[in-house]
Amino acid sequence: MPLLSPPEYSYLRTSLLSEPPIRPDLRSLTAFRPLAAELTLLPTTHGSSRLFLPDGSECIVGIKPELSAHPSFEVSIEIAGLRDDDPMAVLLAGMVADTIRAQVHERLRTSGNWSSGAAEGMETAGGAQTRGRPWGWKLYIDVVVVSPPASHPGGLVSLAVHLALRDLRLPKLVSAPEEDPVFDDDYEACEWLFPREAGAGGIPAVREGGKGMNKADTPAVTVLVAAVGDNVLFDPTREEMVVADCVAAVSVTRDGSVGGLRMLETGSGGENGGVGRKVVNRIVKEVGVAAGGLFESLDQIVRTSI
Amino acid sequence: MTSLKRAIVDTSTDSGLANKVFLRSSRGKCVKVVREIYLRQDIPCSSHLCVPCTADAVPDANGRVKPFILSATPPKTSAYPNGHYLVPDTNIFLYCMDVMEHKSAFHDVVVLQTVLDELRNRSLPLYNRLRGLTNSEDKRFYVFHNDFRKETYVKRYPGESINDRNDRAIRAACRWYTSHLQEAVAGSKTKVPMIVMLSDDKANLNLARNDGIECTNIRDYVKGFDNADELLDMISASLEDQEARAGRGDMLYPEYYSMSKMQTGIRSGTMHQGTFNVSPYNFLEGTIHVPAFDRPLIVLGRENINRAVTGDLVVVELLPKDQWKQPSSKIVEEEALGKNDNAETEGPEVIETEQERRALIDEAKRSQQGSAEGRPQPTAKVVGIIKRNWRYYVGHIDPSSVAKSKGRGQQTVFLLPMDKRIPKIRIRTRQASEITGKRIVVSIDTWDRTSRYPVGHYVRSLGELETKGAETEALLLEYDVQYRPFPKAVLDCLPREGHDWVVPPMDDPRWKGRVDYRDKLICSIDPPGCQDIDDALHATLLPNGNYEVGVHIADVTHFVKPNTPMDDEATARGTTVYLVDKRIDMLPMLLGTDLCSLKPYVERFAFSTIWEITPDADIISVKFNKSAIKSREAFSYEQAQLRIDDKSQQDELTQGMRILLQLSKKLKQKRMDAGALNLASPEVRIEADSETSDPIDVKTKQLLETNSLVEEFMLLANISVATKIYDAFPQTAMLRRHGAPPATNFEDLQKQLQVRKGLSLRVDSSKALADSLDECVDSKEPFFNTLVRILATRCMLSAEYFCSGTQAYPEFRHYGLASEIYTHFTSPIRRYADVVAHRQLAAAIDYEPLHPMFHSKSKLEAICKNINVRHRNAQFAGRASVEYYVGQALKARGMAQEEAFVMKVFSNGIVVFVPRFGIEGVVKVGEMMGVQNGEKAELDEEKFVLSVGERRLGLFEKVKVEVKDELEEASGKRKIAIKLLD
Repeated sequence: MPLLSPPEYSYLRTSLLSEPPIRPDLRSLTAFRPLAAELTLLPTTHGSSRLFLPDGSECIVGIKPELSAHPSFEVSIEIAGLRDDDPMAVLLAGMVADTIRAQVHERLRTSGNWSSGAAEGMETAGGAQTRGRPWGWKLYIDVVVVSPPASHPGGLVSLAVHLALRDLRLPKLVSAPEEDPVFDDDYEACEWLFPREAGAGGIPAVREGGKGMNKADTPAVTVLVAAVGDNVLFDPTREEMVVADCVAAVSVTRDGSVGGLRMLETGSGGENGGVGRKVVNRIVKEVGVAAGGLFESLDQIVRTSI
Repeated sequence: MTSLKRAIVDTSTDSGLANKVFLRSSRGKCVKVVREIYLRQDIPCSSHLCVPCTADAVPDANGRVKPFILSATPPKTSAYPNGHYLVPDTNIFLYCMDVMEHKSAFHDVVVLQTVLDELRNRSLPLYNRLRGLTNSEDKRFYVFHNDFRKETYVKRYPGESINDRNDRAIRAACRWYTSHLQEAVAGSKTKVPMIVMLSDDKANLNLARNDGIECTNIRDYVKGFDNADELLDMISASLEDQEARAGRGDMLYPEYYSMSKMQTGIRSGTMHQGTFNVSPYNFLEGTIHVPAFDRPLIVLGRENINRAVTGDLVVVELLPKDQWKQPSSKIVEEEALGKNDNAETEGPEVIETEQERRALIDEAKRSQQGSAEGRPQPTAKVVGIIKRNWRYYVGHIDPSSVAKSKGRGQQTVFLLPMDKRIPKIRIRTRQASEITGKRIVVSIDTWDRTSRYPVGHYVRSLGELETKGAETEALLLEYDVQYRPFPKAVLDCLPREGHDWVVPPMDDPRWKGRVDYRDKLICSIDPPGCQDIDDALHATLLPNGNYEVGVHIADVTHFVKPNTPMDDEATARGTTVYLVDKRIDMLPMLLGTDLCSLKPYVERFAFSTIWEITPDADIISVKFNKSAIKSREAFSYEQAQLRIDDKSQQDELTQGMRILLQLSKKLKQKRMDAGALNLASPEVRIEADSETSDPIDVKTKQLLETNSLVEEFMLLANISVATKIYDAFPQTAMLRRHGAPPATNFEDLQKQLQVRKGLSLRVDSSKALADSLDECVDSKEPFFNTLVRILATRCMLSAEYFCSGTQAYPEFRHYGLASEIYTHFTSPIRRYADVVAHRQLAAAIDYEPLHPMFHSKSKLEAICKNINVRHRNAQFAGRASVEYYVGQALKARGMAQEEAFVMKVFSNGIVVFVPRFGIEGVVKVGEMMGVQNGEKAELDEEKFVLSVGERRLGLFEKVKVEVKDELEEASGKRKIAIKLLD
C-alpha cells in the first residue's frame, strides 16, 4: 500500500516546493530532527554510542579493537527485522565504511607502534621480514539498528558510528615494534583514537574557521538530503523522501568538502524523471555549507559526555 | 541536540559503588574488564579489642559470625611496648615467606586483600602458603578486605602505576586501622597496639613516615628478637641491596630476552621451549627436549646454560653449526672443578674457571676427531626462562667455604646440594659454625647476571649429617614426598569404631549390593612382614572341568568416599612410599594395615573379580562384585612356595594354590608369546639387625614361582577391569599406558652390542625386542643378559596413568605387558589410581553412582598428572633409600671386593654396575689401581674401549672392584667409592 494517498502526496510536495518551503514538522531546510545521543554506554567496549530519533529509530554502536599486523576495520550492521545479509544492511555497511575510511586509516596508521619508524622499515625490507613486524589495531565496528527504522537509517547509523569512533580509546602498546604486542593494562593509559581537543592529534593542523580541528581530526559523516525542485532538505522524513525528486547520501568532512555522493532514490517525484546536474551541484554546495554547524553539534555531544 | 548521558556521581565516596577498569590480553585480543565494586562498612577489623566491630559483624550464609583473629594482647617488643599488629606489603611475603612461617615470630598479622591479590598474581605457591598461614589458628593471620571497605578503598590516580596505587592502599589501610582502633578503645584504659607497616621499599617507607604511619623494614624488625640470627638467615637474599647489585656493572651471563620476544621467537620457530635437564654425569651439560627435534638439544657450558637450573622451563636458541658438538664423553663433577672457588667474592667473577674451560676444549677436540662417525649434534643456548621450577634443596655446607675466623659474623658460604645436577648455592649466614656438618634445607632466591652461582637462603636444619633421621627426611624432601602426619580433618573421616570395626550382620544397609564370599577358601601371598594386604586369591575346580578363580582386592572405597578430606589427602599423596626402614602411607594406618587390609582369619570387605577359566587358561567369563571375604591364611612368597611343593599337603587350600600356579604359568606363557617384555631392574633387599634395625647385609632379591603367580593374576585382574571401565566410561576411564619407545632411543645400545658382542637388537616391536633380548646371552657370563635388560629398560619410556578421553584407542597399549588396555586396580591401599579405578568399576556394575568429580576429564587429567609425578618420585626415593642403606651396610662391613660390569665408558672414566649391591658408580681414571697420575687415557669411541696405559677396559666387560663407603675429605660428604682392582 502506498504510503501517501494522491491528495496527501500532492499537498506535501506543493508545500515543500512553495517559497519559503514548509516542511510538515516546520523544520528549516537544513535542520535535523532532534537527536538524542549517549556515549560510553557499553562498559566492555572500547567506544560506544547510542543515538535515537523521536520517531523511535534507535541505533547502538560498539567498537572493539584487536591487535593485528594490518591496521584495518570492519563494519557490520544488524537491522532489527531484517536478515543480516539483507541488501539494506550490506549497502549501509559499505556506505559507512566508505565514509570513514580515509580518516580512520590515517589515524590507525599513527596509532599502535606503526608510527615508530618500523612501518617504513618493513616497507623497505619488502617481504623479507621473517621475525617481527610492527603491530597496529584492527577495529570491529558493530552497529545495531534497534527498532525497525521508520525512515532510512543511513544518516542515523553514520552519526552513531562517528560518535562511537570519537569515543574510542585504544590500549597503549608498550612493546617494541619487532616483538609480540604487549599493551599497558591500565585503562587510564589508553589513548583516544581521535583527539578530544583541538590540535591534540599531533598533526600540524590546518585550522578551519576557528574551530581548532582539521579535517583529519574527526571522521566524516554521511547525511541524507532530499531535493524537491530547487529546495534541498536535510534529514528527510519518510514522507518527504517519497515526494522528493531524489534522495542522496552525501559524506562530508569537517571542512565541508564532500567526499562522496550516492543516489538512494531518484526521480520518483520529479515531473520528467532523472536529476539534473544543477540539483547535484546544489546538494553538494548546501551540504558543504551546513557541515560546520553539524560538526559543531557533534563536538558538543562529545564534550558533554566527558 | 541533547544528551541523555547519566550524571556522573562521585562514586568513590557516596554511593558505596566504585568502578575498576583494566585491560587483559588473550591471544592478541584485547579484553576490557569492568568491575563494579560495592563498598561496605561492615567488614570487621577482627581485633578482639574492638567492641563496635564485634557488635556489627555480619554473619555468613549459615548464620555464623567468623571468630575474630587478632589478639587483644599482641606480642610486645622493645620497640612496641604496647604490642603491635603487623601489616606487611607484598614483597615481604614474596621474599620472606620462610621467616613469616617461623613459629617464634610474626603473630597478629593483617594480610591486606591488595597484598593477597598481588601475591596471587606473582606466585601461586607462595599464595597457597600464605593461605595456609591464614588458616592456622596459632599464627593469627587475618585477611582484611581493604579493597571492599569504604574507608580503605583507594582509587588509582591518573598516571599512577598499579604498584604505587597498591602501596598507597596499604598505607591507607594502616592509617584506618590506627584510627579505628583508637576510636574503639577510646574511654577505656586499654592501650592501643601499634599498627606497624612492614616493607622493604624505601620510597614506600618514606611516604609512610611522612604520613605518620609506624613502619619498619624487615631486617630492623627481626633484629629485636632473641633468635635474630636464625631469622635473619631465613630472609631471602634477593631482598638485599637490590640497588647496590644493579649498580655493579660486571655481567657474567647474557641477559634474558623479553617475554614477548621469546613468544615471537617460539611462534616463528626460531626459538624452542622445553624443560631443562642436566646430565647426572656432567654438570656442565644439559639437554632439552623440544617438539621440533627428535633428539634432545644439547646445552654445553655455563654461559650457554645461562643460569638455568634443572627442571626449569626454558627457551633456547640453536647455536651456529660450527659450534655443534657430540654429547660429552667425559665425567665432570662440580665439586672437583670448582673446589677452589671462593664463596665470599665481591669482585667480578669469570663464569668458567680456567679448569672448566680446559675441560670443555678437550671435549671439543675430541668431538672433532670423532666427527667422522658420530656426527656432531645441534647445540643450543638458553635465552630465557619461562618458569623457574625452584624448590627446596637439601644439602650441606661446604666446610672449605667457611671461614673459621669469622665466628658469629655474617659470612657467605656454599651449600652443596645432594642432587648433583643442582649447582652450588651461595647462602649468607650468621650461624656458619652451627650449621656446618648438618643436613640443611635451603631455597634459591635469585640468580643474577653478576653471580656465578645462584644465591639462596637458609630455611631449616634437619639434623646432623648421616644420622638416620636427617638423611631420611632429606630424602623425602628431595623427592617431594608428603611425610607430615595426617591432619585431624583426615583422621575424622575414619570409621568411629576404630580397630573394632567388623563386617556388619547381613541385614545392615552396608550389605546392599554386596555378595557373601566368606565361604570361599581364600588366601593372600605377599612379601614377608607385609601389613597392608591389598589382594587375596582363591581357585576351585568347577563341575564342568573349568576353574573358578577369584582375585579379591581390599575395598578401600568403602571407607574413602570421594570429596572428603581423607580423599583429598590421598589424592595429594598419590602413593605410599616405601623406604628401607619406613613406610609413608597414602591412607591412615587404621585403614591401611587393619580395616582395609585383607588380614587372615578375619572378615573383610573386598572388591572381587571372579573368572571362569579353562584348564588351558582361556577366559570364559568374568564378573565383578563388592563382597565380604574371610582370608584363611596369609603366606609369604617362600611359605607359599614350600606349601605348594610339599606333596603331603593335600588340603583344599593348597590344591587351590596349585591350580593357581598352573594357570599362572600358562597365562605367563601366553603373555610372553604376545610379546611381553621381561625387564630387569636391579633389586636388592637390606637385611637389618632385628633390634637396632641397622643394616648388616645386602641380598639380591630372590624371585620364586609364587611371585609370578600373584603377578599374573593381578595383571589379569587389571586388564579385565580396564576393559570394563573403558566400556562404561569411554571418555573418563582411569587407565595406564606404556608408550612404544622411539627406535632412536635404542640406537646407542644397538651399536654397542653390535660392536662389542656381535649381537643385534631388534626393536621394531615389543615381541621382536623380547626375542632378541632373550638371544643376548654370553655363555660365560650369566649376568650379561640381565645387564642388557637393565640397559634396555633405560631406553624405554616410563608407563603413565591417563584418562581415556585424552588418547586414541591404539595409544592405550601397554608396551611392556603387550596388553591393549591396562589399568591399576589391585593395590588401592597404596596407590590412588586404583582407588579411582575402584570407584569407576563400582559405578560400572551399578553398585553406586560415580561421584560427578570423576566424570570431568580435566579433573581426571589433573589427578593423573599428579599421581604420575608422585609415582616416579616414590620410586626415586625408594631407590635412594636403598642406596643409602647399602652405604650403611658397607660402613658396617668395612669394604667389599665384588664383581662389576662396565656399563658406560667415558674418556676419563667408566661407570660400573655392581650386581651384588644393585648399585652403579663412577670410576675415574685417576682412581684406578695401578694407574699413575698423568698417564694418558685414550677412548676408542668406535670400539667403546678405554685404554689406560696397558689396561684396556671395554664396555660390558667384567671387572673386579673394591666397594667401600668413603668420607670425602673436601666436602665432608659420605659416598660409596668404587675402585678398580687388578
